[in-house]
Amino acid sequence: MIKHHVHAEILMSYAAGTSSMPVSLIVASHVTICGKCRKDVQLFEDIGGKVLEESSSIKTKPETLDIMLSQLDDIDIEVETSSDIKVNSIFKNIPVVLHKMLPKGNTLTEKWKKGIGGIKYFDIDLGESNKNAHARMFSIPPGKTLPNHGHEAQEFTLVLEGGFSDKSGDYNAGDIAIEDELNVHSPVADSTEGCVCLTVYEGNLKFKGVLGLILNLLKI
Amino acid sequence: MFLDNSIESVDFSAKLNCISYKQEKQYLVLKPAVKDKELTYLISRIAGFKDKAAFSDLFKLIGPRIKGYLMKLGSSDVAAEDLLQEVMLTVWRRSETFDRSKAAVSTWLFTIARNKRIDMLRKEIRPQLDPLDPMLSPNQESFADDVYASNQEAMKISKAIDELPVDQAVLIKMTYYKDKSHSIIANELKIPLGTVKSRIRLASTRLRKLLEGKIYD
Repeated sequence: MIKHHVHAEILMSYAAGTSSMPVSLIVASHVTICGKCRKDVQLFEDIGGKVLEESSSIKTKPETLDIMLSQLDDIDIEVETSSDIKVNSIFKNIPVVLHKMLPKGNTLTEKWKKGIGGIKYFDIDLGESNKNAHARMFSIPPGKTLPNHGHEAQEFTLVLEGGFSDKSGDYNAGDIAIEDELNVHSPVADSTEGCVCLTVYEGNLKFKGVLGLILNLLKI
Repeated sequence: MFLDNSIESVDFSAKLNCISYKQEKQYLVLKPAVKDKELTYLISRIAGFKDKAAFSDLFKLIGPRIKGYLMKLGSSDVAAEDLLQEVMLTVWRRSETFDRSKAAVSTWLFTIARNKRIDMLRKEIRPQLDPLDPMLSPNQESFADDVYASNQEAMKISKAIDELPVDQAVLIKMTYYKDKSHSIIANELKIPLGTVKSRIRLASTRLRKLLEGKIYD
């Protein structure tokens, strides 16, 4: 049962096609798992349909239609919606949209980098145009705490397996935590299952305390 | 309609002024918005019979509006024409995959135009959920009802939007027509970001309520 959802204004920007690519990635992943937010996206896409229908008409070039008509016979018709689903036994709880973005390789376990305190992570390549943004997969052992940190911009965390808690509540598989710019938090992974999650943020994390100082210097 | 009586960007007003009287008149004749029934019929002709006449009619009916939508989001005339062709050719290629039990035609056209615009603009594919993802939660099934059985159903959304307070409708419009974050929009309107968020959340609650039990449940 999903308890923590995406705010309406973020879902609306996603549906309108105006949210950034990293935010779209994590919202699309959450929406795959969360029927409630998916309904909202459908509503907002319907509003998009109305926006399109009510947009002021701007005259098209006279030759446009003929150019297209001359191409129709050469187009391969798509009969059914295609999908790139590939079964991956290592990450079975990962939505396809996210799966497509994961680093390629024989085994994804090879991709984990070792962090402090048994925490493992790897970064997802978001492409040239999203250099200032980060999408990072975390695997946090049971009971481990991520150092206290704040953010330069909003931080999104989607739980894929297990769960975590921080001062704002408990988050389980499918839940999304959205931390505002000024919030400082230190998430603790579930004491039995640990936590696999995707975190997306723009700018850098700002770790607090002595350990944080070191992490900040290391740009982790 | 909610789109007409709110903030226009200066750029767009300038473009509007360039439109000849004849076009304005044609625009007025096309009001109110394109009929869902008509669009659905044309798509079914394209899907079932590869009907080029239906394709031409669909283009004449919705093409100028798609172009208007793209230009309002900042595409140049040339880019909007290119994108429009891509959108229409995608409609031809994918018409058999259109499932009217899941969405209205206008919604489907919107998602195609939206995605093509992003693909071209950002030179990257928009991340979106895979409709065949086995992880899709089960209440997807509730959409299997023929929710858009009539034009009347589709009109409920327009009506619900029309009933929103102006300050909320303006922000919804800006979300769709400005390729900008809500913090930038808040700056432009000189209102706090929190106000932008709360107005959109209020509008969403209202829309869900107005449509409750009719379309989305």
